[in-house]
Parts: sequence; structure tokens; C-alpha cells
Amino acid sequence: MSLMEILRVIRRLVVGGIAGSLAYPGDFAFYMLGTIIGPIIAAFVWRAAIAAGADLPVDADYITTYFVLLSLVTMLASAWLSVFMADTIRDGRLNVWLARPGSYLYEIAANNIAEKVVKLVILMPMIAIFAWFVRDSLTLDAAPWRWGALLVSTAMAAMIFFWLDVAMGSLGFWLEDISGLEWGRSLLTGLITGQMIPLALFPAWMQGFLHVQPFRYTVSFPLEIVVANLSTQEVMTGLGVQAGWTAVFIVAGLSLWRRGLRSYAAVGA
Amino acid sequence: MRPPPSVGVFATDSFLGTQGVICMVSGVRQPGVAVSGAAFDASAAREGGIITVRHLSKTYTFHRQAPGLRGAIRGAIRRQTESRLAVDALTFSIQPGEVVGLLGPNGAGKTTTLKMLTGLLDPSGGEVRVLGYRPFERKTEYLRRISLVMGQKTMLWWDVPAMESFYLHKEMYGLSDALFRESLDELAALLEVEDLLQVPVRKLSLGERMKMELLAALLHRPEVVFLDEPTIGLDVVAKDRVRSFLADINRQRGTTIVVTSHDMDDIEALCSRVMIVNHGHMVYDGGLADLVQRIQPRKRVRATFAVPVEVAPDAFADGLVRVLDPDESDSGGNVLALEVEREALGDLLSLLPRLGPLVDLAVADAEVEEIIRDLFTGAAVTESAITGKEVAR
Repeated sequence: MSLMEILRVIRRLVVGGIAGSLAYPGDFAFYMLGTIIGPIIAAFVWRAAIAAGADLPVDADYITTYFVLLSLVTMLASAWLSVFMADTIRDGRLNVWLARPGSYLYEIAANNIAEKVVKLVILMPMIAIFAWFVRDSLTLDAAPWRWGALLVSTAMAAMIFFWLDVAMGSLGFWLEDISGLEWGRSLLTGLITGQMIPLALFPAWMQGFLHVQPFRYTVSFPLEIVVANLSTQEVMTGLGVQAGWTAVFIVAGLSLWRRGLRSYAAVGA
Repeated sequence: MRPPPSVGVFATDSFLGTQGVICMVSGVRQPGVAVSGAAFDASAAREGGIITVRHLSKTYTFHRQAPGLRGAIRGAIRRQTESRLAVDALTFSIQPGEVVGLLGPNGAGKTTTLKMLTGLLDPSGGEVRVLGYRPFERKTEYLRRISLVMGQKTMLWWDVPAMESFYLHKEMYGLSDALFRESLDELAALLEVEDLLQVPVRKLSLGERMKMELLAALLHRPEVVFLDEPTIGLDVVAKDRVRSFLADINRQRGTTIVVTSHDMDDIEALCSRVMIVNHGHMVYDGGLADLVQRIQPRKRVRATFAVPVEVAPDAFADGLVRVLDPDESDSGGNVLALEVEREALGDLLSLLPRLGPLVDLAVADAEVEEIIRDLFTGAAVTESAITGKEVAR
């Protein structure tokens, strides 16, 4: 298929995905409520700690702005397809895709985009309400180029998570069940992405590791661009490192997917 | 476009050298008889088909594990790998416009064969060509000329109207607006689903959903359609509609159809030719009527009289007619059930009115389902089945 044909297929998949998602608006509202509740609680806990005199390496403005933007970046960067993908492989539904001129990867990518469009529409008003309540220490006056860099960085973070999910889901070609692995992955990434606790609040001796590991670039780094007032040099270097990690995850995901397909063709489903 | 039924050919394994033929027909090897395992090659003469398969084989590798905790631990430490030959040197070809039924009991190798024909599985040996392509390469040009319908797996989005899925197919198969609209209108009319195109798929009945699956599968006018259990779970009305639709498509478009089904009514309604596979071997390749005549050449006659009739056991001493057990529904002895050689049918029919006042008469071949069941289990199979002279039961 030509690139234009692939893009037309993905566009149609996105349209169908949005239409399908809108069949369950209530479910999505609850998902988004779940996405924003954590950051709201965390913001109020850390703000209370600072108000009580806790000695933290960041101030209340940092904490507030970080957690207000966190649910947005987390949602835009996230992927949730590995378990579905493994199920599709295991129960043979993949056959329907393999017999048609369009990769299953187009379907899951389009599904990811479509659901994010719907989630964004639902999440934005919630974030606005949260922001209004904490407006006293919310700092959103970063330079426009920082917001642009945040968008680019979030897009790369989404690529990292997407291809990580493809890699994890592809394990379904060989494993009966990946839910245990998925649980472990969620726990690990929750901790070292900055999703539960800003990486700046971890002990100093951990900072070296936290700065180089790839998961910093899925949540924390995009937020740091706006919140932590990184220098231009630090932002550019970070984006370069993030691009490198993105490439690594694309190669890993594609390799496992292709190897899996060969294995699938050898043993059947 | 349906070609005339071809002459059926049984796969045979030769044994004991000069004795020549034949000890295995049904795919259930007779105990204690040596067989050579020679590859079935009878249809190799039909060259140049739209589908050509030569010595196609597929071996699966799997891990064996003993039950219980000990077995699980042992299996985790040292895996026992075994392999199983699912398809063994199949050779056949299919001509454009044929409707071929691929039959076999569970585990016979028919679905594996279908998967290799559609490119889902990489053959372990032999060669497959469909429309001149190697299916496993899964080239876009190839996939745009075939279609696969799996009765138990949907290609439609569940939560939105089927029309959304059809638009997706339009893009996948690169259809122009005009061709898409023309094909959609034609198929929707044939399937009588014009009013259902805007209804979410989850709101459709099973039969309506299968019609939509078929519509999606045929929108791009594929030259070859592979159907895996297309009527599974449908009621009799829906089954009948699906069968007549497929027959119409074959007749109007000349579409080649390869179908697997456990429903013999599907096979009878659609297929001019059947290929029976068992234990990975081709057991039979030919016309359905020919199969019936070879395995069960006798006609079944059911005569109903106004009064009870009695037939002496030696009434038909020539061996051409056999009295069957009385019908369960016949409590009064008014019904006579017989099995008769075809050449003796005329004589028998002229004799029956002399036995008593005849009120009803039915003459039929044996049920196809019964024939196939016997083939799968080996019950009807002896050497004589090949020669067509007599079938031991």
C-alpha cells in the first residue's frame, strides 16, 4: 500500500474508533475521573506538606502546576493496548486482520488516537475546574516555545508508550497470559515516570539513574520543560535523548511484532 | 459458472507390493494393515487452476506437559517438544468458478489447509499458489483479490453501524466511490439488508450480522472467497438465505469459493465438488453425487401401505434388495423400508403394489451426512467402496 493509502485507512480507522468510543460516553467520563483524581489528591497532599513546613526541593507553584498538567500529559502519552493485543493474538482474531490488506498495527494506533480525542474532550473541563481551585499557585506563563517543546515531547512520549505496548502485546505470540507482566510494568512505570511522585522529589542519590532511564521521558521530562524551567540547552539535549529512546522502542516493538508474526505463522492460532 | 461435477477419486495407499490396492479409504487406517503413505496425486492432471497445491504439508511443534504440579515444574525446567503432521502432502487444484467443500472431522487438517491457502500459515513443505501468488507473502495485490470469512470471528466494528466497517473496506481495498456504491447497493439488495446498514452491529441478530460479514467480504469483488463455517449458529431461514446468496454470487460473478463446514446441507446446497481430508490426507476429491453412489450405491425405498404388510425374509432372494429395520414411526406394520441396487429399482417399484394397497412411496439416496459420518469413522469403508460394487455395513 502507498503512504497515502495507509493514511486514508488510518483516518477511516480513527473515525470509526471515535464513533465506537462515543457509544460509551459514561464509561469514558469515569475513566477520566479516575485519571484526574490521583493528581488532585497528590497536589493537595504535597501542598499541605509544604504549608506545614516540609523541606522539599520544589515549591508549591511547581507542585501545583505539575499536577494540574500531569493528567493531561499522562492521558496523551498513555497506551493501554498490550493486553487487548495479546488477547487478539491468542484467540485468533488476528487472522481477520492478516487476511486483509491493512496491518493490525494501524488498527491499534488508530484506536489509541481515537480514544485520546474523546478523552481529551471529556478531560479538559475537569482539568479546568481543578485549575480554578488551585489558581493561587498555578504558573502557566512559560514562554510559547516551551509549550511547543512540551507538545513535541508529549508526542514522542506517546510513541514510546505505544511501541512499548506493541512489544509487550507481541509477547502474546509466545505467552499464554501477559497480565502479570503488564501489572509489573504498570507498577514500575507508575513509580519512575513521575506519574505518582515528581522525580524531583526522589532522593538525590537516585537522581542520576532517574535522569537517564527511558521512562523519565514519558511523563516527567515533558512536564519539566514547562514546570522546572529547564535551560534551552537542557531542553534540546533532553529532546535528543528522548528521540533516541523513541527509536529504541520503535525498533524493539517492530522486531518483536515481526518475529511474533513469523512464529504465529509457524504454529497457527 | 459452476463447472460440471468432476469424477471422484479416492486416495489410496497401496500395500503388499503386487497385490496393488487398497486398504485405506476413509482416512482411518485399518488395524494391522501396512500402508505406504504414498501421496495423493490424482488431481494433478487438472493443471493451471486458480488454486494449485502440490505436496502441501504442515507440521506443528508443541510442548507436552504432564498434569499436576510435578508435571508443571518438570515442564518448566525441561520442555518436551513434539511435532504433529497436520497436513500431509496434499495435492489438488481448483478451477475458476468452482465451489469446493473442504470436509473432515475435527483435527483432520482442513482449517490448517484453509489457513495456508489464505496466507495465515507458512507451509512446512510443498507449494501453494492462489491466483499466481504465494499466499504467505501476503502481498497487498493478493489480499485485495481474495476474501476470508470466518463464521466465528467478526471483521465488523461492534459498536457502530456496519456502514463504518464498509467505509474502512473501501479504503483498504482501494475502491473508487462509484465501484463501492455499486457493489454495496448490489450486495445489500441481494442480502435484503438495505434497512440495516445504519444499525449498530451489536443490535443485529446473528443471521443479520453474518449477512453483513458476507457483504463486507464481497464488497471488493474478490475472485476467490474462503469461507470457514459460514452458517455456524444460524437458524434454518438464515442458513438458507446465506446459501442462496453465495450460490448467486458464484453464478453471477464467477467467484471461486472454498468452504469448510460441518453442516452437510451447506455442502449439498453449494458445492459441486468436495475434498475430504482426514489425518492430513486427502481421502476423496470429486463430486458429491459420485461420492454418495460409491459409498452407498443403493437406493432407499420407503413404501407406505393402507394395511399392514408382511414380507418374508427370503422374498428378495437375489440379494439386490434388502429389508431394513422397521421405521420407528411405524407401529402398525404399514411401512416397508428397503435398500435396493439401482439396477433393480424398476423391478421393485413394479412389485410393491402387488404387496398391498400402496398409499405413499419415497425413493432417495442415502443421506449425505450419513455417508460423510461413515467415511470419517471408517464404518462404510472397505475395498469394495473403491470399486463401487458393494458396501459392507
